[in-house]
Amino acid sequence: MWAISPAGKFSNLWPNLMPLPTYGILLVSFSKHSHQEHFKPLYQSNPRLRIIGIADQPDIDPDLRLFNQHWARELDVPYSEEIDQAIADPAVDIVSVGCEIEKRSELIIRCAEAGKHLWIDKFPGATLAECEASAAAVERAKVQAIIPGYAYGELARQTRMVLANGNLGKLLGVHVDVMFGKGWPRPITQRSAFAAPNGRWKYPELKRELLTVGAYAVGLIQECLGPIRHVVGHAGAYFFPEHAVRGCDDFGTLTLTDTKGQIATLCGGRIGVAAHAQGGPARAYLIGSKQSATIDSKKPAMDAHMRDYIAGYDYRPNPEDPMQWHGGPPVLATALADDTTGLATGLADLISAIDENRPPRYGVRQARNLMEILLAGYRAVELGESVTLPVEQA
Amino acid sequence: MAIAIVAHPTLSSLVCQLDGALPITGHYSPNRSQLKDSKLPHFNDLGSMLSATKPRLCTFLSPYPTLREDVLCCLQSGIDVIAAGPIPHLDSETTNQALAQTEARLAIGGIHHTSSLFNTALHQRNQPSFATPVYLRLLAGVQGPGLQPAWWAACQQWAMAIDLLEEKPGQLHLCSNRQGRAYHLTLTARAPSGALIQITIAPQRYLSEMTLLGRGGLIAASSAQSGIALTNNQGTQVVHDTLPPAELEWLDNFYEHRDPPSESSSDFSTALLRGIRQALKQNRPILLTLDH
Repeated sequence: MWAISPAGKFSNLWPNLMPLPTYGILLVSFSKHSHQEHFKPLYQSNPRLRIIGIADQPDIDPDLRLFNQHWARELDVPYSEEIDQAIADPAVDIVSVGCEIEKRSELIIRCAEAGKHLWIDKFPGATLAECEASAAAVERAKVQAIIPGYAYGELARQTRMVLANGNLGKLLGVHVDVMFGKGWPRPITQRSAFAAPNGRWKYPELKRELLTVGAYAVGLIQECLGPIRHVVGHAGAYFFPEHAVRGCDDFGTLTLTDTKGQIATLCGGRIGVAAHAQGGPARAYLIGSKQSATIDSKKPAMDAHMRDYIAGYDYRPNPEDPMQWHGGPPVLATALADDTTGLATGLADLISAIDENRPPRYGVRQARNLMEILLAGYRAVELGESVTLPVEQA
Repeated sequence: MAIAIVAHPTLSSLVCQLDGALPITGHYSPNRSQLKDSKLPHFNDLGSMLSATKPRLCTFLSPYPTLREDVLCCLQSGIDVIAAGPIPHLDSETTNQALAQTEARLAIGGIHHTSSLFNTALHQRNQPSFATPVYLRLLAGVQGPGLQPAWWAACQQWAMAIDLLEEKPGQLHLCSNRQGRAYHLTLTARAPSGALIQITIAPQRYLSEMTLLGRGGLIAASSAQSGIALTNNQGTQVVHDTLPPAELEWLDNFYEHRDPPSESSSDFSTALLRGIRQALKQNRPILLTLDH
């Protein structure tokens, strides 16, 4: 039925006669708001990469310094807070950017100017201006930079599979629900009016979830639709009192239309543990003029209905990580795909992009546009009306 | 004491199910096509069907351009009318006049009240452990091509949404897109409690998805994963009509004078139809302010 390449296959048809180079990678920061910890085993298991060291800025908090040092010891690599020197090391080909969102743009620009390729965790800046500066620096320096979170996972792979098949007819709309079944919702006793983010995406106890989770849905929509023209946003229904009291979204919806009138809707948020057998729905509905497709990124799956999990399980998130930024709940089914998040596929694409001197499938320019869509969404929530892109770079 | 049916042939399976359970005596299809696999007497116009079958009740299961005239014709002849969706341009003065003259009854919409999907979801939603609703996504297919079936589906899903959440948003954003007669609509809103609603109408009839998320958990149903799976060498097909259709009890209730709960106002449905046309022209989300 489907003519598909398996996940992770970016191989050439012709065998390479020359041995392929290995690339040195520098890990910048194990910030608790990044996925550096998840990236590390990928780098370790990839024969084309070697981890050169860990680096961070000198002005970090003591906990993060200890964490960075811990991983440097584990990996048996040096740790440095002389960031420019660490980047300039000729053994470093790629920098893995896992610092706080507010520090990313500056770091990306430095790395690009030093001729280093980049692996960037989700957002290349905290504002549209920062994202634009990152994209411009990467383009100027002609280095390869990937944002691996959006276009490589199962949801995106299966969506491309359906679209490539052509049976949908004309694509009329795309609707995406991505929810993280993490954290422990509690009654909302106090709520504040919606607070615009104004470049602040996190507090000690929370992250803006329309940005954090909704970004995955926007990334998928970018794969399917043309340039987004109009955005409507809604938020203000809460799971967590921490979010309600600050007026910061833990859940939100967006409605988008592109320049051709194609429609997309999405929801993104953190919905609490045990609301879904596989840690939260991640679904896309592709509406075509002839057929529609329902895609569940966590299917196909193997169900595992263990008696103890259902009837006798006294589970609570780790109090040290109540929102489960670094963990997940127990699940009742396991996806059969071996790279559901697409990180391994993304890494293979970055390495091929460097080998072949071509941009990866999803780079900083797309991530800049993604941030613009999300910012328009937040503005639409704030105003209660549709916002037209492009938005002002603030 | 018979029931006459007006329905597009895309509903042939539904009409056959109704025919097997209720005293249906005739069928009229507005586009004059006959039903597939049906032994029901077929008529090429409403007047012939009414003369030949002398029904006590006529049910309109599909929208079409002359629906208003046909509904009024039935009411003026003293025939009870139940329609699955709103009747365009039917003003209350004309309706009341017709109803007063003949004592016929008129009911519009409300099919979801006899739907096992809706009632099961409502039951679960009212469990204390569900807590308060946060997000509702409904995705539904239309019964056939064209603007009016898509509009009916949107009205039906909107009515179901506000009955599930038990509150009414003051406004909604509407988007529409189409290819030929395949229409795609989305309705997005925020209820007074803060619960968020997304309704999606697709051209494919059997598409039906529900996600109702509460602070205490998730209620979900999917047509793609519900039904009988028939597998052959070409693949697997899901057969959906495994439960009695909601229309059966809905129609039977009306026939037996147990009238369905009243549907959303005609002002809403008229504004929605106008909004769909406007959104199609403008290729952008349209804001509708609602006066329920």
